[in-house]
Amino acid sequence: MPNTIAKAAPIFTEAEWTPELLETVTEEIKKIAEEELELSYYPIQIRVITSEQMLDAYASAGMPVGYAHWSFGKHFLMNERAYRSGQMGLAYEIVINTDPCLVFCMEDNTMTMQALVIAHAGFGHNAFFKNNYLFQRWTNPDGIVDYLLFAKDFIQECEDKYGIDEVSSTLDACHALQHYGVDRYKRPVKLSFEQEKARMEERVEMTHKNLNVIWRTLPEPADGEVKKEDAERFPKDPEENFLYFVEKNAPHLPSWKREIIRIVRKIAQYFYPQIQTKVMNEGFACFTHYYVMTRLHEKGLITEGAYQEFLHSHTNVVAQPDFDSPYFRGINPYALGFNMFMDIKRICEHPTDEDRAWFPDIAGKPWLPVVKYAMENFKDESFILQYLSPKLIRKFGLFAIRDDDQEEELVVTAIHDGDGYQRVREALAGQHDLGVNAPNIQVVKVDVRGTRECKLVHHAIDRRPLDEKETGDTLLYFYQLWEYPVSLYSVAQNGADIEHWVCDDGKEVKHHKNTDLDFSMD
Amino acid sequence: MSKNYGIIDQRTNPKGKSLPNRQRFVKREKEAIKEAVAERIRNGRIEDLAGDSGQRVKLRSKRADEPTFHHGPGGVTERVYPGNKQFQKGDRIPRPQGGSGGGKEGSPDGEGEDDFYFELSFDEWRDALFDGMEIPNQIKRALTGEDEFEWRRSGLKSDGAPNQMDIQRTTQRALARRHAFRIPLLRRKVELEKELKELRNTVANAGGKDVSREEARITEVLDELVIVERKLKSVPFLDTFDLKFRRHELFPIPVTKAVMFAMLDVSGSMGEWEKEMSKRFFILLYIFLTRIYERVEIVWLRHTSEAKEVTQEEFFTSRESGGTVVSSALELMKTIVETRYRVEEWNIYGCHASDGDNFRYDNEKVLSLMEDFVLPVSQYYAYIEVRKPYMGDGELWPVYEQLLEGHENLAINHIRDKDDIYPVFRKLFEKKETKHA
Repeated sequence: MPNTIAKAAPIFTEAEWTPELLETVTEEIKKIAEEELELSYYPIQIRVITSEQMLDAYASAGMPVGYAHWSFGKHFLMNERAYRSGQMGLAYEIVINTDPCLVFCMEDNTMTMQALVIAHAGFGHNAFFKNNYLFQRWTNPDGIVDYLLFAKDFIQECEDKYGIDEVSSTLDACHALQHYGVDRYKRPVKLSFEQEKARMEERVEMTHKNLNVIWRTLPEPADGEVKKEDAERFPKDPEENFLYFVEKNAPHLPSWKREIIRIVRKIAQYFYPQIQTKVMNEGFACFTHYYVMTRLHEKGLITEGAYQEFLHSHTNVVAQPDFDSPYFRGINPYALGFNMFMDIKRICEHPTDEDRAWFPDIAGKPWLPVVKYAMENFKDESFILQYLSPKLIRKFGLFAIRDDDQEEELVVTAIHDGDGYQRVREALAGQHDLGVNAPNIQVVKVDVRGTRECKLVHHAIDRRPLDEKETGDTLLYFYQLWEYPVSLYSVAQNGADIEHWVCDDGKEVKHHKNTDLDFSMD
Repeated sequence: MSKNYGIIDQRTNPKGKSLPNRQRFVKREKEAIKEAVAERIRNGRIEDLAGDSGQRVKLRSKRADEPTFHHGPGGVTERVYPGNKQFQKGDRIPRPQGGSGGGKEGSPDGEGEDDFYFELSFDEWRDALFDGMEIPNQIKRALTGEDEFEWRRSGLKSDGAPNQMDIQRTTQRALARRHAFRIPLLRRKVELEKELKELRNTVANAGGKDVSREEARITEVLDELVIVERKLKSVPFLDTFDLKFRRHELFPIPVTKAVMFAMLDVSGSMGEWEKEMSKRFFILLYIFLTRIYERVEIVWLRHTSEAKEVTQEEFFTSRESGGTVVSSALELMKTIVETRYRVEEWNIYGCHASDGDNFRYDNEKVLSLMEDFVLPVSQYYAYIEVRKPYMGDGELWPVYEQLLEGHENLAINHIRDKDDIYPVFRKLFEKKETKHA
C-alpha cells in the first residue's frame, strides 16, 4: 500500500545540537514512545555535561551525590588514564534509576547522537527502571537522591567527629563486603531521608537491646541440655547478608559505624537489580532507540545522513565479536539483549515452524504486549532461559565449553544444533546468574558463649575455589567490623573441608589447604 | 500530553567533583608513591627521568587494593562463547596458555588489578620526589640587598612629576570634592531664592500694611545670595590636593637563575657502575633545581689529573686513565664562575662525585680552594663518594669532612648501592631541623 502521507521536514540538518532542537526532538520521541510503544516512564531530566563531568559521574557510578572516599578517587584516576590514553571511550550517556529519571548527555555528542541517547536512556532505560519487577520490588527511585544526600552528610559529620582515617577504614571494610550486603530474597523497606533520620535514634536503642540479648553474660536457667544447645545456636538460620549481620550483631561497634554499614548496604541493595538485568536493560534500551530512530526516519523527521550516522553507531554498540576475534571481551550484553528483544518481536510477527514449536505461547501474537511482558517480568538469567531462540543461537554461533581443571583439555559440550540449543541456553543463563557467579558464602555460627568467633562457610560448587589472593584480605575486613575471631571454611559438596582461613587477631590470616582430598567425584 | 521532561545545561556547573577523592587517594598512597618514585630513580631510564612531562608510576600498594570474596581459577566451569565455526559437540580442545581457560572470565567482578599504574603530573612527581626537602639557601639570595632591583608600582602619592599623574584618581577626587563643597551652598541658594520670592509677593500684595520688616529682610537675603554665588564660583575645578601620582618603589628581583657544576671524577678507578650512580645523582639534583629556578644551566666538568668542560654526552661516556687531581676541577669551576656566572646574578650549586681517590699532595689545595672560593660563592655544595660497600672511606672524605664545621652549605655522603641514591639525596637536602650537626 503506497504511503500517501506527506513526509515532515527534518527537525535538524546540522550536526550541532542546540537546546531548542533537543526540546523538539524529545517531543517527537515522546510521541513515538507513548503512542506507539505505549511506554510508561518517570519524568525525564536531561542534563548536558562535559567530558570531565562525565568522568566524575563514572567515578560515582552515576550517582548525582556521593560520599567521599579514596576509592572513588582511584577509579577516577584509572578511568581518566584510560580515557586520556585513548584506551577507553566515554559513554554517550549515563542514567540511573531515579524519579525523576536523570539522563546525563555528553556535550560533544552530535544532534543525532543526542536523539539516540534520549531515546535510549530517557525512554528505554527509564521505562525499564519503572516497569521491571526487580526494580519495582527492590528500589525506591523517588527516595534515592535524598538518601544519598543524607549518607553524604552523615559520613561528612562522622569524619568531623571521628577523623577521616577512621571513617575511611570503616568504609574500606564495608566496601569489601558490599557484594554480601544485599538481601536476595527479603524485600527492603523504603529508603527516604526523613524516615531514616527519624528512625536512626530508635535504631541505635534497638541495636543495643538486641545485642544485650545475644551477648548477655549471665547464664540462663538450664532447662535441659538439648534446649540450651538449640537456644544458643546463633544465627538461627545461615545469613548471607554479611553487612546486615554485622550491623545488627557485632558486639562492640559504635552506633555511627553501624550506620555507615547500613548506608553501604542500602546503596549496594539499590544497585543490585542493575547487576542482575544488564542484558535486559541494555537490550530493551537498544530496542527502544532502534525503534524510535527508525520511526523518526520513516516520518522524515531526521535526514538520511542522520539515520546513517545513527546506524553506524548503533551497529558498533550491538556488535558481538567472535570468540577468536582480538576484540572479543565476552558476551556483549548490548548485542545479546538487543537481538533477543528484536527476536521476540520477530517470533510474534513472522514465526517459523521452529518458533511455533519452541514458543507456542507467543508465536504469532501481537508483539508489543509480549515484548513488554518480557521486559517487566524477568531478570537476565530467567530471560535467557525463557526467550533465547534456536535461531538466535545459530545467528551468534553460540557453543558451550566445559573447563575442568583436572582434565588436560577443554570439552565442547554443546553447539548450535538440535541437541545443543537447550544446553547452550542453560549454560548462558547460568553465566548470568549471580547465584552461580558469586561464591555462596554464609555466616553459619557464632560462638556466643566462648570466643565469639564468627564462622563462615563457603559451599564450593563444581569445586570452584575462592580466590587465593583476596580471600584472606577480605576476611581481615570482616574481622575489622566483627572485632572477634573470624573463620571461613570452604567445603566441598560432600561436606569435606577443602581449605580454610582463620583470623584470630585482626592482623594476620592463617590459610590452610587440604591437599589430600579425593575429588574423584560424587 | 503533558510535558514531563526538562533539559538542563549543566556544563557550567563546577567540574572536578572527584578532585577531593583524587586527592584523598594520592594522600593515602603517599608512601607507595614515594616507593614507586624511588623505584623509578633506581631503574628508570635517565632520559625519561629528566624530562618535564608527567611520570607514569606503578603502585604496588596493598592499601590500594579493594579485595572481595570471589572465585579464583579452578574447578569446573561451563561457559558459552559466540562465533563457532568448526567445533562439534564432544570436541576436545587443548587448554589455551595461561592456566585454565575459563578461569579468568569466570569471575566477572574479580579481576583484581595486579599492578595499578597511574600518571603523576610533573608537579606531583616532583613533589613526591622532593617531599620534605628544603630548598637550600634559596631565600637568602633572593632577598638580600645585593641583588638587582626594578621599579614597581606601589600605590599612590600626592606629589610627583606631571607625567606620573594618575588622571582617573585625580578627577575622581576632584569630582568628589566639588560635590562636597557645592551641594550645601546650592541648597542654601535654593532656600534663599524661595524666601526672596515669598517676601516679594508679600510686599507686592501688601495693600497698605506695614512691610518694612519684609523689605529689610529682602536686602539681607540679596546680600547673602551674592555671597553664596561668589562662594559657589570659588570652588575650583581642580585643586592641588586632588592630585594623585603613581608611586614607584625599588624592589629586589629574586634571582631565578641557577648554574649547577656537575663535577665527575673519570679517572681510571671510576668504573661504569660508579659513573652510573653519579649520573643518577646529578639528574636528581638537576630536577630539584628546576623546581626552584626558572632557568637552570649545567656545567659538566670532568677531571682526572686535569679538568675539562665537556658536553653532557661526553661527560658520561668516554673513560680516561690517569691519576686524580681534584683541585683541577675546582680551579676550572672558579675560572668559569668568574668569566660566565656573576655571583650576584646566579645561584651557584656544586656537586662533586668521585670514588674518593685523590693525589695525596693535592688535598691541601682542595682545602684552600674550597674554603676561599667554592664554599663562599656556592648556595650549596655536595660531595658524594661512590664506593662499593666493601671499601672504606676514600682519601677525599676526610678532606671534605673537616670543612663541614662552619659550612652549612656543604654536605657529604656515601653512595654504596643503587638503593642509596634517593635516600642519600633526600638526606643531603633534609630540612634543617632534622639535620645532624
